[in-house]
Amino acid sequence: MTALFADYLPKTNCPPADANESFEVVYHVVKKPDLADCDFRTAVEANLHHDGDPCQRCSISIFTDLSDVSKFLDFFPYMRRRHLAEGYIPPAAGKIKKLPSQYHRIALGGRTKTLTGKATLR
Amino acid sequence: MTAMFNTVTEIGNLTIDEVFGYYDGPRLFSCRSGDGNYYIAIHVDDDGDNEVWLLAPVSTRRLEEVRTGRISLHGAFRLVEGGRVWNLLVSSDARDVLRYDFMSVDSVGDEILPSPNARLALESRVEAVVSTNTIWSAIDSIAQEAIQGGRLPTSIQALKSLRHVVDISLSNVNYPKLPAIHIDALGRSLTRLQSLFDAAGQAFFDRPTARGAVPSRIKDQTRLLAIHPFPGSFGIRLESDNNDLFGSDTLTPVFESVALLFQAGDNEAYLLEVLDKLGPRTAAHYRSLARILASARANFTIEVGVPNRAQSVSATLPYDRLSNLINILERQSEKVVETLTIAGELIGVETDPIKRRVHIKSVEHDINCGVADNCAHKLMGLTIGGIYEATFSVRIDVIDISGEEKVTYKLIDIN
Repeated sequence: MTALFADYLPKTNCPPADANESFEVVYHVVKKPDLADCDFRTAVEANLHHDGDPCQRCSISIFTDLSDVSKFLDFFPYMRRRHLAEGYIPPAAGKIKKLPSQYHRIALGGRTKTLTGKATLR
Repeated sequence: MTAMFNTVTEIGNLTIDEVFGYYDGPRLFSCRSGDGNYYIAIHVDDDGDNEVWLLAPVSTRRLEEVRTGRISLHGAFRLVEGGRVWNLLVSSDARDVLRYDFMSVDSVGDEILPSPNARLALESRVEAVVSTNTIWSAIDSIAQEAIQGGRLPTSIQALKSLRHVVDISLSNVNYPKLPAIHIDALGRSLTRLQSLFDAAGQAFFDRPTARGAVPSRIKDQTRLLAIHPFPGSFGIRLESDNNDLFGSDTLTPVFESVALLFQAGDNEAYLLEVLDKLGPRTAAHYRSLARILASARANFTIEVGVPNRAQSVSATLPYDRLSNLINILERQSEKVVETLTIAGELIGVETDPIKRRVHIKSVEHDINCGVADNCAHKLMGLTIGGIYEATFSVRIDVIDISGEEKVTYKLIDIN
């Protein structure tokens, strides 16, 4: 299956060749228990980080392991006030790539609105 | 490099040097101002519309210590060089800096700082920098400018000699300008400092145990030479006498850790973080040094330079903070103790609450010691001559006058 990616993705190397389609459960930090589109806006959609990596700006950050969320919260305690949305990326709905970081980070390249799930308090 | 915040007049434009933490955008990174100064920036709060960021000014050396995890992020902010951090309120959308303040780090609550567990673990990039001719020529010119009274800064001397260099100075708090110090205080301080480096060396090269003497092969590496006194209150330069067995790069963490110990001062959280790596023996000698300095009413300053580092680490232990430091170290000595478990023959037991003791002997150990209160009930029913598995806490103290180590065992479990 071929993913339907947003039109604004760079034409070359985005998603990167080493990004994978995924069926994994993923977690994304959101501001409120009720999910909203704005929780899944990419930097391009939010008009942020103009000097950042063009492909990375078309992605959102996610976790695949709750223990990595715990490490993340050690770095950014204010995030404890937020919530964690849990869902999965259906086939062809996006790709993920693991990127080096101190806490495990995975960027999702693609049409992120297809990430479905329910925010749960943790 | 990526521009991050719109201009803060006093800092200038900041561009990202290296991103350490990214979550839907850079949230933790090093950055550099137009005049070449480095900062560690972290996003610490937001209300949806605006974000709060803290920026800690850092030397390139401190930045390396944070990158490589030698200093936690918590420590990088809590012990920021100069004691002040930039607090920025930034609009989430346009990255405009709406308000900023150069504030005392004491005003920053722990709840917004990274936890002491949050530590980076990146490869050092110093060697690559130091190997360039440009940096070497810069160091030469700095050295020429920095020579004062014939004494090079420790960092420069370390680069030239490829030895580790330690400058210490002591001044009596009652006579801070007097270029003299009682020789008994000086002598004890020097011997205790040597023991401190020996114990730290054992923690790095062997294991941070309180039992047994520091092996001579380690003491050979951490031995310091007195090079010359220098003007000041009373200053003396020391250099490592290490040979090639470990090499200077191997010895560097020992010297850097001892420097960090002094830099932690009486900041309890940071102090315990450093001592956690250095072990109870190092803590005991540091405790003794602090008592000697307090007894001599001395302010103590130390500067450590190591090969392959462009900057020294310096720290001062003011006399008026020594009392608090000693209290912290005493508390720490009660909490952080080594344990020893042996299987041995019960030679004797005294169950009287006033004189409660056990005597247990194994092939390697012969321990006659007190008993922890919560273990007293286990003494009932023990049989003299029986073989038991016994666990002891091991506490090490140093006798200030002689420098002799005293190890105290206490039975904490027996089965």
